[in-house]
Amino acid sequence: MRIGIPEGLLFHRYERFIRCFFERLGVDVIYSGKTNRKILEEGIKSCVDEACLPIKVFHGHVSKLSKECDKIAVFRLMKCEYGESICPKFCGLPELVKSGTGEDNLVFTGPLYLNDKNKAKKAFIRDAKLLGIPAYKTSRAFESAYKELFSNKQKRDLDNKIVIALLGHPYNTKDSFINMNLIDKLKKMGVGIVTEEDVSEEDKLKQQTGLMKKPYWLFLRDNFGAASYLSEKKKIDGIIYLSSFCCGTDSITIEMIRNRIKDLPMLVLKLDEHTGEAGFNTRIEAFVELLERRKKHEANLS
Amino acid sequence: MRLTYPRLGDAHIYGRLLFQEIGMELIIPDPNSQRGLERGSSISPEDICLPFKLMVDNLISAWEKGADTVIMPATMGPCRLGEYAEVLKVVLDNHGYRYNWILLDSISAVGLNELKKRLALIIKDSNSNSSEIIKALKGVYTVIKEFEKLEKKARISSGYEKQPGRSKEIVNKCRRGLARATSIDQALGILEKSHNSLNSIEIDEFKQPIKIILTGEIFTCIDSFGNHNIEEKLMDMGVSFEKTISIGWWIDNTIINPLGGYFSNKRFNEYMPYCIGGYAKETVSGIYRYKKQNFDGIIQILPVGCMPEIVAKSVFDGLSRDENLPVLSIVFDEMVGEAGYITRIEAFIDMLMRRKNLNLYKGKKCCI
Repeated sequence: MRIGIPEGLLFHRYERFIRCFFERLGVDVIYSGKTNRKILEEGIKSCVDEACLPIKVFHGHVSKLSKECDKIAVFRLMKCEYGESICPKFCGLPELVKSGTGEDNLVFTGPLYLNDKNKAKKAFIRDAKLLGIPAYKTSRAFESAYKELFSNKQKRDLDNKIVIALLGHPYNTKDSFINMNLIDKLKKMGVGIVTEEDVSEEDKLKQQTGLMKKPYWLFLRDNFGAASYLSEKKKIDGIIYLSSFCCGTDSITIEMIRNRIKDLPMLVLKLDEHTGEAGFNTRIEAFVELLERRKKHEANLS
Repeated sequence: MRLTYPRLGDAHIYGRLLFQEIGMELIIPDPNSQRGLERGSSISPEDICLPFKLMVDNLISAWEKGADTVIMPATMGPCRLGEYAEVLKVVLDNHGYRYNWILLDSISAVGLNELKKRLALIIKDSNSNSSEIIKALKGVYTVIKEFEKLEKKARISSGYEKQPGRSKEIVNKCRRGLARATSIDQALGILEKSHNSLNSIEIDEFKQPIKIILTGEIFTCIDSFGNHNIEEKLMDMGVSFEKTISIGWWIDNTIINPLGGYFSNKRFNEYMPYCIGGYAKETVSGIYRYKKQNFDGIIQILPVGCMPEIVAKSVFDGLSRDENLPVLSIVFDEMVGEAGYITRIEAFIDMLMRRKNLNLYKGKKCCI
């Protein structure tokens, strides 16, 4: 039996966890690989029209895998490791994928609450049992993979002239096909990039003061906290926010960030199926130029 | 302290009755309108859903009438409604409407004591004692239940009536009466009269109208501006229909009997096994009633970009492909071109009629 794992949506965030878990489990696993044009087109064909770009891409990954393996792992993530929830589409992901692609062989579809270790472990054990994998094996694999969730993320040192915070959902910022090689493009322009991963959890939590209620979405918390912290500490010259068209959570996140950072420049890039690269490039170039000029101007004044 | 809250269907009628009874004033925002929607969306974030834009306008118009405190319900997600208040505050503050906010958050978020404190803040200005307040609450609850019973009856009888439009008329007249009622007792009197007149309309028992389940996102289901008056349109077409989601249903499920809501979430549903936020699961469970109770089709309504309902729509799409389920999903946005909506609904009803007739000829159902 061969299990396919789509490299879409939150795969990038939980990559180390997933890889470690399946390695220890000792099953035959195949990854769908990086997103490409064919995957995108397959996804658009099978997905419900109203869904956002990353969901469509995910459908494409599943369609690709359905030809290559027997079972496909589609996780139903209800709560993340810090107890935050995500967009409702993640909770209904197996249903979305099933009715979209017509794929019946989905596995690991039990609800996952990663903030509750025992509950998550039980869910994995139950799902693995359906595949005939004994509980002790799953439990051992889970224990070693769970550590990866909280392992330290890498720190970068930046000596660039201009530093930009690249914010947005990890499936947009880390998938170089979806975001049209944004990171490489920025690097070529000599721009340093920080992401929300460079800001520690405590710093993010501290930024929540002054809000009426505690934000409950993972990406709202991460991106808002990071933007607020970085702008307060004056570590960045501007923010690029990558968002997918019609994203429900971003409509709120962007407004809240904008209100918090006041007059720090922020560029919101909306991604959709139309991958017109020229317009995208122009906007990035113009934004970087604006930041350079601003910096020069500030230097002259002081 | 002058209170207000955003419009949601007939909620302002009930709220007015309640606050009147305990001697307080509630500022009711102007009815939703196209101009209001434009004013609301001009200062809202771009991708936010339709209800938010309407609420922005509601709160501006209430501010102009002198309101200074907003009561706003909130949840702990994952739907967007829980963050509404936060962004509404940001947007309105930036444009000079500096409201005080009373956030009615779920117990899981703020704890029971904090919620009690906030509720006490609302009735701070009232001279009534607690037994009077409880009595008023009970009275308003009865009004809500009775009015919804009336609506439910009218939705079904609209397919059978001999004089088209009678049931619609009675409901609308009753609603106007309730909006003017000066006390709960008077409101109950109006309701009783309306019930009687609805019971006495002439009915053609041999008619076989199309029967539909109307379901979908909670705001568009409840608010008639949000759904372009779809209920009246269906009534005009002589369709019998049932709406699964209403204010009374929500109150029952979350406040009066949270356990009922809990159990209905736990109930097995093979098409959507887990609650994913919003009311997507309730929407999808419409399919069971469709199968059991001889309905002809399902209409699902949602505002553009509604996250839980997109999942429900995807499930419906799959079912209509695999199991031949007749379902029409209508997505509402700021566009006012009603002709397009009407055409789609009419075409759907026509299709159902033809399907029904075909079934009749095949002898699947008894024909008179």
